[in-house]
Amino acid sequence: MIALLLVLAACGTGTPSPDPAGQALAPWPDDPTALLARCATEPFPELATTCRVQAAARLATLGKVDQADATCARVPEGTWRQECHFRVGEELSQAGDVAQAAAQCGQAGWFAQRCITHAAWRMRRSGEVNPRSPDPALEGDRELLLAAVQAGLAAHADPGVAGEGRDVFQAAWGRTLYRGSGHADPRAAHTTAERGPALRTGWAVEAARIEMSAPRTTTRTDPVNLVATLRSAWRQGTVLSGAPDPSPPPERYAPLQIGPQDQGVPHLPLYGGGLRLVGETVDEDADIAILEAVYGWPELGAAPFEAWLADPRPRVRWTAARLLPLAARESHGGDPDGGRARLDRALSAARDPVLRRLLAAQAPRPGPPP
Amino acid sequence: MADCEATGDPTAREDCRFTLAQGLLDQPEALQAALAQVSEPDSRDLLLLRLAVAAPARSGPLCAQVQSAPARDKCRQVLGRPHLSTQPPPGPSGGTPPGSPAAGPPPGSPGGEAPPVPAP
Repeated sequence: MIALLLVLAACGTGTPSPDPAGQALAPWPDDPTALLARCATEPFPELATTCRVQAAARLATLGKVDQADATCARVPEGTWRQECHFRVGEELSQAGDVAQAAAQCGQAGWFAQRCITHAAWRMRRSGEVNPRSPDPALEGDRELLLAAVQAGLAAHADPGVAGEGRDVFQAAWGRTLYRGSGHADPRAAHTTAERGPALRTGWAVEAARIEMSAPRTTTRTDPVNLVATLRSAWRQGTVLSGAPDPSPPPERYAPLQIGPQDQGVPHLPLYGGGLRLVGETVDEDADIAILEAVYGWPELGAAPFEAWLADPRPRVRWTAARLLPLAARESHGGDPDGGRARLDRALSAARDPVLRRLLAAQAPRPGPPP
Repeated sequence: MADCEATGDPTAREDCRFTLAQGLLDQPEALQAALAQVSEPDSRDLLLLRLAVAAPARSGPLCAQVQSAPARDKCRQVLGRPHLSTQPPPGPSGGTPPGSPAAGPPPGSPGGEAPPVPAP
């Protein structure tokens, strides 16, 4: 209110404000219309710029796409114009307008790929389609989403942006279908279709959340049990059920880590910006998805990954070898054997050169054992 | 900064300070000396904030000197968005951000991205 009065006072008299600094620093109003009025009277171009970016983001939150876009158009070209479209893209995706969000990311220039990442993983969907929907409905939903994403990003100067957007949004689609639902039904994920890896990761993430949220299980006392429980549910087609959570806290995510072993192998984008290998078969891919999902729970330490270092399937053991050192370094007292000891043991036993390189790449920082 | 003090119009005075300080962004000691000459706390905060918006890559040390809560709040719009400090490499397409396919992932695979960060 004070800010609005200051603005009105300055406008009403038609004379310069005696305290332009105080006026410029006054808090912004929450209402986007009032904020836009404030931006229009801002005498300092830098603050007018950030004011409009903020107003555009708030308009996007309310689903006012055209007004948000027009507001960005009034921001000078360059870094802040791109940031404006980035903010609008993020907000629109969270508000459920993925097509318009992608179109905004397509205008975000240098920030387009970051915009895609943020928009995809914040995406909200209508909930009309879920993993229990018939295959044609699932496929139709996926195709509709990806077509909108590609159309929105097609205008970007970098032709790779649209393809990357498609991959990231597809991965986020699989996660969004399952996450927080309290119902991890693996049947939809038992598919060889293109949507399979995204659904398998979505299923594994939700199955892990359900198991880790259930006080009755022994998972917390024996972390290896979580992998076994999820594998058993996958193989037998068992639905894991638990309390739904519309806004579950995000799980821990591994950083992007690419090596020579990744050349020519398909990958799936993961929440947080990482990538996981896609297995050669549906079951192998489910095992990889399970290992990645288990990494999301720091209290399980490095123990769940150790046995997988000897798996005959290269992509599975490489996944375990990438995650084990990260988990060992970041375990928070949940690994009674000690992450460092576990890693040292794994390194001395490893014969596969890829395994050795992956294990050594993320050796724990020097320090006392956990 | 002393020349700016002679400016009668308060807005023009703030602009004068900004123009002068912007020219000192590559001279940290001279910039600090100039900032020290601005005695009004709001004017100093405004100057720091304008510089941070104009040069997001330098926003960290600039915003660290801001005193008032409203100015700190507005600084978060820059500080909370670390990508603003990144610059595209020279080239016709402007390049792609770090972590993108050009930076590492194998051909035909999707690229990685910086982890999502909360909006300010």
